[in-house]
Amino acid sequence: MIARFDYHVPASLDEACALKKEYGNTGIVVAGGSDVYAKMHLGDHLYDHVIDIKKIEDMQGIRWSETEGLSLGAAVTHHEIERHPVIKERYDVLVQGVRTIGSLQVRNRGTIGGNICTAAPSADGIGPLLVLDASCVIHGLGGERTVPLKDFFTGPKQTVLADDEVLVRVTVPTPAPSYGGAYFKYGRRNAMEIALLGISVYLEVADDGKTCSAMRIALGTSAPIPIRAQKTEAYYIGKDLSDRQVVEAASSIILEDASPRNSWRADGEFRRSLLKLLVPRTVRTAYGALTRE
Amino acid sequence: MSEYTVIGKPALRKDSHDKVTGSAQFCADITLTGMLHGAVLRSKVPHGIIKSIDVSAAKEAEGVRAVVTGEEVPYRLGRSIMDQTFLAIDKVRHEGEPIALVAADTLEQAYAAVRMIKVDIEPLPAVNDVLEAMKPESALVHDRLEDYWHVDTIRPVNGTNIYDHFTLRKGDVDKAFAEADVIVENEYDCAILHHAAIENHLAIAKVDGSGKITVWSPAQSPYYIRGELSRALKVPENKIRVIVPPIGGGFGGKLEARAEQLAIALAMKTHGRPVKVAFSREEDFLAGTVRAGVHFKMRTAARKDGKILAVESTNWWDSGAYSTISPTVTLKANVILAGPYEVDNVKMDGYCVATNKQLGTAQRGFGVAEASYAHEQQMDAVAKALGMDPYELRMKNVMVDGCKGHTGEKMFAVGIKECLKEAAEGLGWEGHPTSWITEDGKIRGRGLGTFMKFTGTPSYTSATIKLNFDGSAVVSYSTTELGQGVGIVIPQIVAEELGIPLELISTVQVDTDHTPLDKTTTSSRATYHLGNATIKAAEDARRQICQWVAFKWKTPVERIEFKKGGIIVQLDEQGKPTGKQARMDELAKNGLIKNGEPILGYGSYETTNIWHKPDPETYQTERLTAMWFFGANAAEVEIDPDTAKIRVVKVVAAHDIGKTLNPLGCLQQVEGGVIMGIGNTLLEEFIHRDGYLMNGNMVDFKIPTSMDSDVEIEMRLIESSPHPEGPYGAKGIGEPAMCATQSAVASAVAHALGVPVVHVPIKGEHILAACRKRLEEANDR
Ligand SMILES: Cc1cc2nc3c(=O)[nH]c(=O)nc-3n(C[C@H](O)[C@H](O)[C@H](O)COP(=O)(O)OP(=O)(O)OC[C@H]3O[C@@H](n4cnc5c(N)ncnc54)[C@H](O)[C@@H]3O)c2cc1C
Repeated sequence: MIARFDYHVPASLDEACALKKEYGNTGIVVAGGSDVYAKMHLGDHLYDHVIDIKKIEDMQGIRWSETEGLSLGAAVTHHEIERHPVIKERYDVLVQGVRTIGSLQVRNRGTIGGNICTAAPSADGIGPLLVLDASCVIHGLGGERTVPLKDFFTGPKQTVLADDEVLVRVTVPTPAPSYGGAYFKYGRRNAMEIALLGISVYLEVADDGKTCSAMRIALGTSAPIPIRAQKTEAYYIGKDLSDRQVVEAASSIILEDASPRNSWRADGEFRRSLLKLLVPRTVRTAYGALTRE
Repeated sequence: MSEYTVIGKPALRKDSHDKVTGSAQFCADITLTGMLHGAVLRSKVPHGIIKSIDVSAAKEAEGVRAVVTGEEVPYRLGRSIMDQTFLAIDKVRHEGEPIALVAADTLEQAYAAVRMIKVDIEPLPAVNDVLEAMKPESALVHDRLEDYWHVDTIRPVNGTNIYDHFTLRKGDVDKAFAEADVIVENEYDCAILHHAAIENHLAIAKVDGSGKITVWSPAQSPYYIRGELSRALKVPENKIRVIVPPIGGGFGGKLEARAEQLAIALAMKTHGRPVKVAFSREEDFLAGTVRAGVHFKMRTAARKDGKILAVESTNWWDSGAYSTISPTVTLKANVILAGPYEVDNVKMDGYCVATNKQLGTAQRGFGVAEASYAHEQQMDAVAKALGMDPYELRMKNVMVDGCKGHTGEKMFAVGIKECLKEAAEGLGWEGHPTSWITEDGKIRGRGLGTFMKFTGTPSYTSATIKLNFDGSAVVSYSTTELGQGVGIVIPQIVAEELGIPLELISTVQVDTDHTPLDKTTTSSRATYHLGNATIKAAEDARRQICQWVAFKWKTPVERIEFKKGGIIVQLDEQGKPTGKQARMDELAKNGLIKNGEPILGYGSYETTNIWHKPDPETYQTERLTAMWFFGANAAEVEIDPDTAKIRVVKVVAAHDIGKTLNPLGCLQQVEGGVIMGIGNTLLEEFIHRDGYLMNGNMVDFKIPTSMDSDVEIEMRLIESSPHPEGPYGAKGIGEPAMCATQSAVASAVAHALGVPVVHVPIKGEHILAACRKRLEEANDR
């Protein structure tokens, strides 16, 4: 059962930031609450103050234009994302990712901002945004700043957000007209599952239709924070992605990028074997999904 | 045309509407006047000595009305061994064991007060593993097991962790092994599982001025709980009343008292105010009940032609901190551990073992699904060793009517052969490979699983049928509705026997002060036992009806005939119909029984007379049980060789049902059973580290979601072996529905990969290497 707390509903960003700063460790920002309340529900007295930001205007809505790209309000739910026509068409890898989160009920509650700020290595929304080169728009009492998502995570479940800062929006540039994207989640169940491995791939090819000209790979649950697999990415540049053996050869490099743990949830050795098999496979899937004009 | 009007026809459960619309009032929905809320202080360590408990702050806390510690309620519980107290007294034996209780005006206050209790526990090494627990140097969960009161059919051993050592001896196993052409030997493991019913354990208790205790609880077997509480509290049974609201699932987990004794302990101190104690999901994982884990050592001897000569096993059941009914699980699994096959030489040693883990108890099948997995893996291994088709090997050995069972009894109504044939046929077994690679590079496999299982005997139950003057009827009994469908099958029987329309028959909330005696709702026994009792109650009602009608029609009762379909006919002296008749389904119109002598039919059924006590050493007997169940599943699986993830594509489930009373009910049982079986085989397990449960929540303990249940299920009901003593020939389906799924799926995986499955659940870790190897072999070819 949840211990008692005071509930605050700030109307503006500044108000939210002030409350966050005021209450420090005794308070918690909440959006959908699917992480926060789940934790509080276990009964320990964690916070005296809950600061509910999900109604703040600046954090709402999905905006898109060809030139500006995509802008997601931090309070946008996973379900809003997965059914958005433009995101479905242009940012399919993001839909693939958020679609695997929990269940429909969880996706109706959980927000993209909450997913990012929880900073779990297993978050299914983060990997796709990493490979789409997303950035975080952050608001603090001193004003606004923008941080690339890949620099947002500073340690296990830790972010660059200062005491007085909240995430306002996530911006995603317009991807190349022709690219391939794929998300692969390994879990034991097909729903209500924390990823034991999450692989996101974004790739572009040269005019010949097969030589890799851009490659971005993000790995979930493979390190203490969500990471980009930079050595593996570098390997692929200039390679012929239509050659299965060439694609699969990356399996010898992938463990230079990733360091999955041994835990009671899954054996480390098993996770490493899966990475070696599944990263090339996800690259193949992304290559197969290339949008050709 | 069928000889029956209602029996054998699909009928919708009477509780469907309430449950689908949410109007059913479960125990959690009940609030009584003046009701207090209880909370439980639980052990954070799996094993330890309680040095001190300080409840002084909790007693003074706001809203608190009662605080209870173990010494105040030293009552003992335990169906097999009375090894459990209401609350831990000197020692805690598992993580989550209750230590102290608080009742307060609000739940918040109760929780807050529980947090103020200080306990000092000196940790002891945890007994974490059954095989370790068996070693002489192991720490002991209970110091002197023999000193507790225990039933005389089990054998606890002092100075060990053995709750019971079950033995079965038939024929001469050593000789058979010496003469065998092949011997296969393997070890198998099944993890601990949780029942994970949608409703957690909970209870409300009230003790009134006369000392009468009333308990509201979703007890599977209210009379069993009443008996336990009466023995524990030394209170006569009429002073304990158990009322059962609709139950949110049990699967065996609601057999044991879990929240009842805690609510009572508090209610004894609240001066008549009722107290509700409701487990959270986390508490349910830690302190509800589980299906015991088990480790099997199996040896099977066969002749070149495929004849199974002998089966031998030693097995250890991880029954946890208190024994509950787990010796019965060990027994029931060992009796059938040679499978539904004719085997002349059988030797079984089953150990029911104490560890510092959750309480092992019955789960849908009493150990049969686990045993079936072990014996079916053995059958596949024998088939492989002999180069025989796994189906042929099984067909060659299956039991038939008149054969001698593992307990030495003469078997009858044995439908396993037809089941196996139908299951295999449903999958298109003949001429099809058992392992192949699909075009998109997936590994497919097919497998078979069979089982046999018996219902607990001796047993008893009873029913009454109250006929209303308008022709509607109320049938009452104390078998509970757990989702198995008793609440529709019994009205169907009443409708069939009395000719009353099904929609005019209602059932009664089970309440030990009002509804008639019943042993338990377990063991797939309700249709058979309660069905027979209901037929007798209907007979009794018919006799009373005829008597009344005779009086009304001024006719000697011998000349009143109650015909099938509920037509009451007047006969003349020659025994021919006079033309005067009345219909049971028109009682409202014809007023035949209106203001007459009230009609209350009573019927009971019990099976002591057919039961012969087995020899304690050999477990041989003339007749062990009222009823044997048989069945077979055939399964096809697909494995992704890159992830080692297994998808069950199709299961054909064939069951020796005897006679189908409600095909819709059977389908619901089979679908649920197959999916539950798949969950058991592929997903569910308790993960412990040093006695601590790592995954006691619904995210980390993985029961199949609807997204994991995309399997084609084909049910085949076999009616070729009706039970001569069953109602209309019926047996049971509740537990059988899942007994052969684990074995069939494991068999399919073993075939797909060409290696035995030695651990359930089957996880990626266990089989990824085998998947890669299987793929390489295929590529080499
Ligand atoms: C049953 C269940 C299943 C789940 N399954 C998955 C899954 O499959 N995959 C997955 O990735 N996640 C899963 N989750 C986790 C969770 O649903 C997601 O991470 C979700 O996106 C969190 O969003 P929220 O709005 O509910 O976050 P909240 O719980 O409201 O907040 C989460 C964290 O983010 C902080 N926060 C939120 N918004 C802001 C902001 N704008 N600025 C600063 N800080 C902020 C909060 O302070 C908190 O620390 C699951 C959760 C549950 C309960």
